[in-house]
Amino acid sequence: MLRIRTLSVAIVVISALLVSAVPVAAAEPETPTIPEVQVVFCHSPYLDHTEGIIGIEKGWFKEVGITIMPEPYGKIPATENSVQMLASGACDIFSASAQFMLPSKANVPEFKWFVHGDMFQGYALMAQPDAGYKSVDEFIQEGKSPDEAIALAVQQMKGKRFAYPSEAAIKGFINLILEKAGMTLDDVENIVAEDAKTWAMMIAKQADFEVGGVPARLTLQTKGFKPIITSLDLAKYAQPSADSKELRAVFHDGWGALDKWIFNNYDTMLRMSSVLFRITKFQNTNRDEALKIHVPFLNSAAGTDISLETAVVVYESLDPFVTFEDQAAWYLDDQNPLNYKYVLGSAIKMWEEQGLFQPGEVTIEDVAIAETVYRQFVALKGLSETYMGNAQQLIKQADKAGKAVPKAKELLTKAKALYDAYDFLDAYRFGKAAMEWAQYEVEQ
Amino acid sequence: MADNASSCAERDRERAQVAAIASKRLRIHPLQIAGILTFLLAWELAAHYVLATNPARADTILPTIESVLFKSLPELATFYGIGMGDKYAGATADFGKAFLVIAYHSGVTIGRLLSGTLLGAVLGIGVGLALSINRHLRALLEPVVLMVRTIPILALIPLFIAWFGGREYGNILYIAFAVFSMLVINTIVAVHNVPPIYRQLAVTLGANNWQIFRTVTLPAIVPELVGGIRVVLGLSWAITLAAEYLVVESGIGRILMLSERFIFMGRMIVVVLLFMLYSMVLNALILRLTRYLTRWMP
Repeated sequence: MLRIRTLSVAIVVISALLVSAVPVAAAEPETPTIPEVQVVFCHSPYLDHTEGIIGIEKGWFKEVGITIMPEPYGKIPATENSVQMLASGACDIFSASAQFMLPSKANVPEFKWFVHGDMFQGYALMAQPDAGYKSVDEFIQEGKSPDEAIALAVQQMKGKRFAYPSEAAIKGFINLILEKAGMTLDDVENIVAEDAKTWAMMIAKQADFEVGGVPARLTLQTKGFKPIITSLDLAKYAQPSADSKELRAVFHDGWGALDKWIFNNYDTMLRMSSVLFRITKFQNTNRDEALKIHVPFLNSAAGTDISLETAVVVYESLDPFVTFEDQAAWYLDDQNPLNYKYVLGSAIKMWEEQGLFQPGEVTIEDVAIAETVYRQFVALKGLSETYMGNAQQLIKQADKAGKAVPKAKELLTKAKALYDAYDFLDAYRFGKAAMEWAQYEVEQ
Repeated sequence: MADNASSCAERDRERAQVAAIASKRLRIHPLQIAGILTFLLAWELAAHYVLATNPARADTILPTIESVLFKSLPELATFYGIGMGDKYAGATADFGKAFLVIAYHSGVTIGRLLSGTLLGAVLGIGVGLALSINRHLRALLEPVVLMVRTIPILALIPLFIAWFGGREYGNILYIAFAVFSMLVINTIVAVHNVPPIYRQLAVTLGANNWQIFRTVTLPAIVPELVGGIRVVLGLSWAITLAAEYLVVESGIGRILMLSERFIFMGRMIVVVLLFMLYSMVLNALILRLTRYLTRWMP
């Protein structure tokens, strides 16, 4: 159902391109509006899932007609509950990663991740600081090759107590590092517990090694614990292929929804995506201002005391937010190992190897439409530029001829503002209306 | 002699009144205070030992009492704002805001507790009474009730999240379900335990079934029911805490959950102390209510 809908939108876009060359002057043109809608938005209390607060505080959602519910900040449930929240309809949109949802795919209504904002690369195998364990970098400095260094670093876990959470997204990293070392989970003493409990065990010296999320890593690092091997250590050797297992150490984060919601609210979904692109642009161009909004909200939502300096580390290396323009590498560059189809494809393959899916049973399109949405944005961007350009031309001509075209100017100004805000859907609509009004007003 | 007898009787009455008043006052034995002080001293000694031997991790293993009171308590101000109708404060330490956080989230938790417990109690006692007086209904429903009450309540958390998606009524229904399953059986047993002679006596005095139910059975089961409610209320705190591990965004259980997630041990201790305090106060209030409801008992 969703694939037909995305195809229909593509057909409409292409048709609009074909007829755009010759505007027909007729009755008074329509004036587009942006409908007012409410979206129940859920974001988990982590740095890579609360960037939506920037859009809320800046009023960017309201500018595209969206009221985030419940007001004022949406819902803030734990990531562990994302599947149930989405499945029960308690959230229209959830901020998480598609990889996180994969294991429950068979048991929940169809869902799709439709836009991404950041690349999570923050996993790390942490070790007790005073036990003499060496990191990958230290082995490389001793003259070992990267592959040897990775294997030796992980082999230090043999026979030791290893604590890790059961969340799906982390399995890729754990399986990969063990495989690199020629080990399996049988070679370690496993302790599976929630994220916070694994840190507590490390602090209480009840575990020798631990893997957790970014908060775990940052917290343990500040207490002197040592990252032995990280997602970045692995991802730098990844190949542009879904068969590249190194890609299981990283994943794209973004926003997803049930198919039913996307089908019934497609334009709203596009507008939500535009706000995320606006947010990531702001995070890159106005980083300090973004952090001053983002970090206090996260701290209040999660009860943490993350400093701005720590958050900078996350923004810059552990979980960078990527702009719309730079995301071309994720969707349009087949040679980029971090192309999302390879990253997500690698995760799907992992679950096939584990026997959760039959080979080919689950495809990327079954889980995410982010590439389709991105390409639609690119097409809508082009359309916007065409219409706005045409409107600009007509307005210039009208000005030269001494004709007043106030409505056209108003609509063109609005179109440009929407264009700058990445809302290319409405920029195209307002740009087209500006062009039509320019012609109409000239003929009056 | 008669005067001596009457003045003795009067003195005895006065002594009885004084004794009655004294019995209502809070009596604290010196050994109770000593016990609490000993516990606090042991905590402080252990915490300082950890601080001396493991300073980098002392706060996450066993914080000192002063750390809990002067660091962790004001840090609860970090939770200020979200859900409270005010702007979020970010990471901050402020006693004033911390107490507002405690007041707000405690109110939410107690509200959930009382709503769920009241709903569960009304349904549990109502269904229990219905099953007690109607044998056909009892034959139909008792096996189901007995099966349902054996479900471990914590095992239902994922189900309730899936069914209700963390909505507030789902949390209250979760608490109500737990209370219902305990009180329905308590009510059936209480009715069963009413001595038959009470009913027989009422019958000989010409009472019909409704009069017997209203004037004999109901008053007779009050002591046992109230005892059951006191036990349930104590468990309700644990169940409310479990409910706040569901997808809630307010309540001191949520603060506990988030503090556990990021290992703020001092904050966890503050929340546990709050639970203890509220539990004690509620228990004392229920005890007073119990005494009032059973005032006719010798």
